[in-house]
Amino acid sequence: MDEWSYNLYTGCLIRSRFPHVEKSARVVFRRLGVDLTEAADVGCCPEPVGMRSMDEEAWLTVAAHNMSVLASEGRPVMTLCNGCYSTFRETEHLLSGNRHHRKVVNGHLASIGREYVPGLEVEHFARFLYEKIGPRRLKELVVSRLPGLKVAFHAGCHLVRPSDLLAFDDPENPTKIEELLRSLGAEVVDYPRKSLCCGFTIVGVDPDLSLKMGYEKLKNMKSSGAEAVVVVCPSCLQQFDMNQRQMERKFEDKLELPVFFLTELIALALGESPDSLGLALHRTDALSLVQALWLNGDTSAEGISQVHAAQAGE
Amino acid sequence: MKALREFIKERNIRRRARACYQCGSCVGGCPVGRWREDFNPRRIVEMIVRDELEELVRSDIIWLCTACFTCLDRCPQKIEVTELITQLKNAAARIGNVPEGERKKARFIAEEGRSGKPVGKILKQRAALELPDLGQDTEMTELKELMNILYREKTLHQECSSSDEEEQVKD
Amino acid sequence: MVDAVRHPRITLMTLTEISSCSGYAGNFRVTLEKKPRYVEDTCNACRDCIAVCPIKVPSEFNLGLAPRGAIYQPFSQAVPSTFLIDETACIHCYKCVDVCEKGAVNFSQKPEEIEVDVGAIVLATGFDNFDAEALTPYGYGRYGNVITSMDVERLLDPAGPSQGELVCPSDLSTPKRIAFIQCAGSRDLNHNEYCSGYCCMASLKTAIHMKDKYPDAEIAIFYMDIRTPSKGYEEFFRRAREAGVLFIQGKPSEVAPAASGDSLFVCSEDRSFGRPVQWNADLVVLAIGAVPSAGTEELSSRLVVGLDENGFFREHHPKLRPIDSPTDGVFFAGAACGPKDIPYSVAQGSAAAARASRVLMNDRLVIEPIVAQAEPTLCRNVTHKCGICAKRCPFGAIQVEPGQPARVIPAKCMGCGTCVAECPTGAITQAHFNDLQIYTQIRSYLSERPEDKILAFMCWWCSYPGADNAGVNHLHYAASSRGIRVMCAGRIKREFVYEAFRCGAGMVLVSGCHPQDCHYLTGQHWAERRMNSMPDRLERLGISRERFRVEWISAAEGRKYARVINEMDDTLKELGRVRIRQENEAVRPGLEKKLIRVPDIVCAPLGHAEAI
Repeated sequence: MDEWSYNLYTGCLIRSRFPHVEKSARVVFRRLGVDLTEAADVGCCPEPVGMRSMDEEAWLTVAAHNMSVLASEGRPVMTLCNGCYSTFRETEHLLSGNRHHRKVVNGHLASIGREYVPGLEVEHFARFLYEKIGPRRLKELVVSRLPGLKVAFHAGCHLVRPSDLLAFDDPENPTKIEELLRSLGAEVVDYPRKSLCCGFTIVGVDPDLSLKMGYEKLKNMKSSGAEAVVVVCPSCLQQFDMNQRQMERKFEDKLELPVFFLTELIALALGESPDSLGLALHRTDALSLVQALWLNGDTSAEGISQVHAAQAGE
Repeated sequence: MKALREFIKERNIRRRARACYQCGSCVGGCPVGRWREDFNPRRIVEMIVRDELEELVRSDIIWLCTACFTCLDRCPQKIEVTELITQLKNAAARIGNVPEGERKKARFIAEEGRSGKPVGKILKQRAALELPDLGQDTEMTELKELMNILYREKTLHQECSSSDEEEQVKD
Repeated sequence: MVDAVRHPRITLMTLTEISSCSGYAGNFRVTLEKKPRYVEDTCNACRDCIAVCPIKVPSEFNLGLAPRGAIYQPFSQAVPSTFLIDETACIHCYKCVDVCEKGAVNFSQKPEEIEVDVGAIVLATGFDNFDAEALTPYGYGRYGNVITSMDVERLLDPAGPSQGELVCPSDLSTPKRIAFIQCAGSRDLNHNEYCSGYCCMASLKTAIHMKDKYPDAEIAIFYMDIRTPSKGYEEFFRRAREAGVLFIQGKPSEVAPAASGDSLFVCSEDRSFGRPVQWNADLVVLAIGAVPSAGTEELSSRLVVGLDENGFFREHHPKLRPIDSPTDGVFFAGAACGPKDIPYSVAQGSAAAARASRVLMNDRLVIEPIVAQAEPTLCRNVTHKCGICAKRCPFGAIQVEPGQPARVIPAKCMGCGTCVAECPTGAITQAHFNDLQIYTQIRSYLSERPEDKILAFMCWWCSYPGADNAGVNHLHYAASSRGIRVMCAGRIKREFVYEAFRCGAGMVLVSGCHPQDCHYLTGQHWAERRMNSMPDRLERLGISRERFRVEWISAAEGRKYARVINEMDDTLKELGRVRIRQENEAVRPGLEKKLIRVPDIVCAPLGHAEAI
């Protein structure tokens, strides 16, 4: 078996709002035998839409600073957020391809005695799960399948776009992560205009429109038969989970669509209990769906209890 | 507006827009444009080409771009529409044309070095989930120093905090 | 086609590929591989075999909309009408053998190698359809009711898979709302940058046909520009508008499925109103363009006929010699060198036939005398692996076998002289433009007051006529320039420049055609590559870099020629005679060392051209 070790870079949003997401990610990676260490606390990546819009030069400089600090730690970085992933990849691209950018950035960094160090290897956790673990291995590890759970997957723009740069999955119809979901036993539903943005980034500009964009996506998912939504980015999670009640009020429509971070579903399928994952922390009730699944589903109860016993033994 | 001209030139904004043949594929796929007809990326690019930048930089419209990169990905002439709009936002920020929400977010990052800080409740939840303790949070002096340097010479920081500019935005 | 096959002097060879080709115009020897058909010519196309063949695979002619057997006829008017067996699909049940009354099925056929001697070759290899699945936002292959313009042709053919009824592939219902998306994969840097030209007219035709057949259907054509440049085309566009076809300007961004059912939404901008539109359609037709036909690249290497940046065959000159390939005696017809519509293809076919007959009518072929000649005793390829000359020649005129000296085929040589300049041992010379002749010119021009002169090397077709144009237009330019005319910039060796400075030249200009205009296809490219490093090389020797210049000047750019010479003259005066003389004196030993490999040249006394 390959040995993987990464510096975990959780990013501001997960760190400050979604402890349950961090928990599930740590659990999944431990179970997959990935050695996770704590990345230096360099602060915000920085966030690739707001800060870049305000001052691209500052955004690039801070990102270059962070990447240099992380590079000096000598381990590849694992991000849990499309935003951090996008910032690091774009920065690397801009600084490696453009002498002018490098000069400007190094000029700023020199005043605090630093220089941009290229070569930081950055991995998005979902990409890692697909490319390094893969649906087949994941299927072997599953002890409690999620039979027939109908999920709709939302990739989030910055996992797949700009596609020239990231070259991960077809941005128009990303299906790689869906393969992972199927390997857990879930049923993936297709829905119209799958590649549309969740709208989170403009919440500070036009909050009503932001909600409308999120609502439209959720409605498309629901009317296509989805019982739950799966995301791989905390921004999309915030939009779909935390803002869902607001959307329901505003558009007078009961959505009640639980929103899972990919690692949460994997952790459940690997036999983790909903309690240990903090599933109750979801703003839109996710617990009842999982419990219902457990009660009615044909998941192997023995498998789960075995895992729990094993964990207790540790 | 001389500074704006220089900025536009420095970032090659017009040259990067010139190859656009105005097909409108950016409009058809825009997640914002479908609800807000006044946000029309094709028109924004044409305004850049025709040098009607001042109007753009003073407008609220440019801030509606979510930076989802759909237009860039689908553009048949490989115009970096998202990137162009980002540059316009940069120019707008320099003259103080920033929506309040964005201004707050930017200031928070500049001051704290983070885009969010966990409150007590979250810290408790973290403890319950046996996550690493964030108690002794790093001061991030180096990053804050860098932020200071970055914003010291920028009109952005000064104008962001000047009250008359803020009023102008509220209007 | 039927007339062609019946013609006593036409031999039709289907299922046959060119494996190699040697010789030159009037004397080509082509080796062909004839693939087995497994059915003899005695086949009378009775179709009994089709009835018993148990295999069903997608029919290529029907674009997969209908099946065919392993034994089949590609389409009902196919020539020859003899059936054939698809070896990869056949399971060898031999039911066809049993049922064939003529005993025509013959599984013992083997591939045959055939050699033919021909005088001329016409490449009419056509085009393939762009693969619409590459357009992921439009969902071809993902949504059943997104089809291509070629699919719709099959559906509307009375002999086609739906007997001419327009149907939605998802449920075979008749579509009420139909959207055409123009430029699908064309004019798009992510796919094909070029315009295929015929798709506008094809969609107009199909839309009018649909309106005739289904007057109630709502048809919208999403377009960027409707291009109707040929005779009667614009009138046809008006007919489509009058027939009630809706034209929406905007390139659709994506095709999205409706929340339920099979209908689709075309998401585009409607530029008339400057707002986005989601146009509901039952059927979406992607107007796909042309791509080079499969095998074009292979054929190009077997015939030594180059390809353009899009993978089509490259014509000798896009404007002046659009029928000719760079190799004499090889011609193009139809879409082999780029997308064409029917009238254009027919015209080009006739032209290619006329061009080919010009070769065939004569017993002897008269060629220009300016050709390359290789001296076998000097060729490096005898002892080393070299072959640079053959790689530089865009006409395939040089043959290089391992261990053998390079051989020039005079009938194929066009006389650019690029190989002469690139040969590392000086084994190749160019008749009428040999090194000695050029060195002699350099020396004569620089025999008196060389530091006051600008020595300009010019190519035959562009930059020399450019200088001429300056004269004809009475443009003033400095009298200090002296021009040396070569056939192509590709002929200009670095040594010519060194020799000019050794002779004391004030300035040197190397000029030629613009990159895309080279009359020898690649000569300018090699010249540019060679000359790009020249300023650095000269500077290292001690010559100011501004004393050397490279400019690409077309025959129409007299003004540019005059400007370049005037600018160089200004630089010349700025530097001043004294400094130039000093520089030249200082670099002479270095230059002589560079030129030492050129025999009989360096030892000649300066200022006396006649001495060599």
